[in-house]
Amino acid sequence: MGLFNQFSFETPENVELEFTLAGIGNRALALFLDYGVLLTIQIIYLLAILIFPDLIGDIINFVAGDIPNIQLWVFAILGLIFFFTYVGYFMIFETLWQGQTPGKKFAKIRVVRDDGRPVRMQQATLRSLFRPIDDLLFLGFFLIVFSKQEKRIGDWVAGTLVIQEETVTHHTIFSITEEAKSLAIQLKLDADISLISTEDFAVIREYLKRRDGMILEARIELARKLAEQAKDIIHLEKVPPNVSPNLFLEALYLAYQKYES
Amino acid sequence: MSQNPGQLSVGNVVSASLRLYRDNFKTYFGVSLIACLWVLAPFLALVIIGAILAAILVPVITAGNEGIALVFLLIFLLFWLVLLIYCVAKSLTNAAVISRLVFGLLNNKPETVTEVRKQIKSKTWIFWLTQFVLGIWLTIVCFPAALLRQVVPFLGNQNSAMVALLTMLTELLYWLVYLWFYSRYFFPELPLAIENDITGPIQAIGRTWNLTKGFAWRIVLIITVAFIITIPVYLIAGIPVIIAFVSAVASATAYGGFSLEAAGAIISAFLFSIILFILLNIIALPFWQAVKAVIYYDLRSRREGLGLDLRDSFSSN
Repeated sequence: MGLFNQFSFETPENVELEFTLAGIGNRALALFLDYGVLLTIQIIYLLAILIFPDLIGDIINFVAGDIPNIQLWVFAILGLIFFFTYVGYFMIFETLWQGQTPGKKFAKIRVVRDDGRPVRMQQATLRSLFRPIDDLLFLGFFLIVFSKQEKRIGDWVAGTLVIQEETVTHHTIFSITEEAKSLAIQLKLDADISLISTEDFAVIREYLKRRDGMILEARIELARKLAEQAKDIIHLEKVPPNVSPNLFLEALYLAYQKYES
Repeated sequence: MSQNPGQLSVGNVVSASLRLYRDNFKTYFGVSLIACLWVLAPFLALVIIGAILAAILVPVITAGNEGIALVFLLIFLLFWLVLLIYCVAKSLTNAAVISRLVFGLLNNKPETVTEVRKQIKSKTWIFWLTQFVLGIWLTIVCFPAALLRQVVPFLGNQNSAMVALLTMLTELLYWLVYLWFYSRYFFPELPLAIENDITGPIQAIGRTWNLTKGFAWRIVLIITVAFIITIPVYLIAGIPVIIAFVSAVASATAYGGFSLEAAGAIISAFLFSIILFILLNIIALPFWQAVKAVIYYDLRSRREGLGLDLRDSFSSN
């Protein structure tokens, strides 16, 4: 369907790597969450300064002696702390967590370099420093939406991409009943399992994965429909008695797996 | 593709919606333009007919027949109300057209604008009725939280910090409750437009409720992210508005207080911002309808297995 931008790259070893780019939705979500965390940290700073003004004043006096315009200094230092926290937050997380911040972790996206290698401090710093231009003037937003590799200025300068983490679909975790196993053996004898294509198998597996989250009536209806279609595909005369469509599909799944191996 | 529709994450729903909108911008913009013009029409009519009516009625009133003038006014108001409902219904239908177009793309059964209009034309009034019923229903279900929010500030000691805290909490609670219900009932026009056996408001609303079971907060998050995406567009558009107003005020002070030129400058700045606002709505509407369609498709995929089909090698595409 091509709804998401892909990026492919051939390594020097002639290995083809393909990534799905993160997309503006995930990046906006991650940014929203990260800014939330940052805001919380800054509020804690502010509260600390408001609640303990005397303490702060004493510390400063102790360190630097009596300075005129101490208010100005406090503001200046506060501003610096804000800035360093702002840049440092992204820089530190993206370096330590292999290109992820808490927000990016939630959105399941990751910063990588243009060739797929993990980011290091250099890239993270560059991205972070250009962030004020990207975020506050919304330049980054338009660049992400309209550029082919979804790069904002920070990405462009640092040579990075933001990609979606591949969710592992190999571990299909669903339970198969015992009866399905014996039915699978019977099916292999009675019908021609080889007529099931890989796409058909994928659809059956998809049903088995999703069935727990489905509305009951719809699930029953879907199982019935798929079982009917499957029955025709493998040239089975009649479904064995007392076999529910659900069980039938489980057995087909097992039979195809065994047949394939 | 690592994620099929039916397993879309929050961010991917928004990205996909934007992508679908961009790919079909001209079509959707056209329909959205019509939808927004339908909403504008009754207000334009109000201005024009109001002027005519004033011309007719003023002599009647000055002649002392206030009673007749009042009757005329009431009849006019009634007609205008019916016109308003009709225009809003037309507008909502057009919005639903966009959603159905997007759904068609996701479902691999694309349709043209003409085909969709033909299909849903008969339900025009139902689209309005559904929103109307939903509005009433939302007011009812949110009533306890709304009541709490109004009552709590007046409890006990006015100035205590406790009351202030409770007021804030009940305010937050109200918004959370409203958001939860709003997202549970986010898209009643979609089943109405897309499913043949949904023909009435209660059915459409109930179907939306059923589909969104367990997904309310996820939808809230999607709406939040989608809203964040629209912020840059509104802010960028806000710049000319600010410039217009600032220059209007500047020219007003240059002319030394109130003068015709100053008033003209401010009024034109005002009109300019209204036009810009309307234009922004025309641009934003298809995006939101696309978001609804993607959520709807995703939910039907997850909960009803929409799109799962075994095909022979002959009929597969």
